[in-house]
Amino acid sequence: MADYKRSAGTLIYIDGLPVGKVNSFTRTREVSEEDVTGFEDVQGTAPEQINVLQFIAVAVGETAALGGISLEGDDGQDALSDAADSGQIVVIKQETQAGSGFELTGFLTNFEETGEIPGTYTWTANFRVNSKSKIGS
Amino acid sequence: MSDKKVVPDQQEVDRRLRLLDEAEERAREYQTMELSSDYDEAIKEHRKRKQPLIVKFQGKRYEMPSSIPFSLSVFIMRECIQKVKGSDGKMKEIFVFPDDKVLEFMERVFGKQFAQAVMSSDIGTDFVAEVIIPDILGKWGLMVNNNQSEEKKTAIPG
Repeated sequence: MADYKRSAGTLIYIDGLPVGKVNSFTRTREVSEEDVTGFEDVQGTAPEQINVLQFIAVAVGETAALGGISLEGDDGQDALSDAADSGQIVVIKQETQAGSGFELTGFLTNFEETGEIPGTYTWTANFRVNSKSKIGS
Repeated sequence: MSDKKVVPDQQEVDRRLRLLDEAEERAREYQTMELSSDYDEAIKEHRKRKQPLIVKFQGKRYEMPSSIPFSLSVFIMRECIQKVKGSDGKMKEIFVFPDDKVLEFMERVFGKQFAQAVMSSDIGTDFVAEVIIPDILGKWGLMVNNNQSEEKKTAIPG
């Protein structure tokens, strides 16, 4: 049987199986900083002397706000809901039609679902990105 | 426990991708439906609830809408209502028939068939203006308060 012709887009996978489509995606990078100002970091002369604050980045983190759809039941919505409840690793693949793109691995930090369309759930979630890799060519 | 990575069944992956595409299509259709309104069913319901008015004229019965057609409301506001200064100096609204719009007004109020019957009959303009038109507009809830119709009230049987 020939492979299903995939459309370009962003999909969410659990254990290698697609469980949802991502329709909106916003990535945010956060940098944690630390004040490392020393005695020498001053400007001017007394009594007008002031400290010039110096910071360094000590941690970089990335999160993504997602919105999308999933199938009702075990094939989608239940799997996503369980993953959010248990902190299970999920993978987000952003893929072009040619098969290249990015793969983000992490877990859901919150998950909200709405079931107003028959057979389809719409959901929004926040995703903590732990690793990122290129896929395809 | 083995560390061996589970390789997903490609057929299962393809099946889910196909179902997800279908689900996405459903979601798109649902959103389109949510943004649109279909009034046809509502109009059917509305017409069921509101029975048409029946008028009898020269032995024939004619069906009229139970409420004023929207197009007629717009026509009246645009063409037939005029503001004039009364004898007390205050502005008041009066109902007039512009000469060049009489035929259009008749058809809009009576409907084409009834208008045709009225126009081909020998009844006087005063009867049409003072009896028929105020009666129909009155049944539609429009207040017609011309001086002439106040002075010459004609009883309508039934």
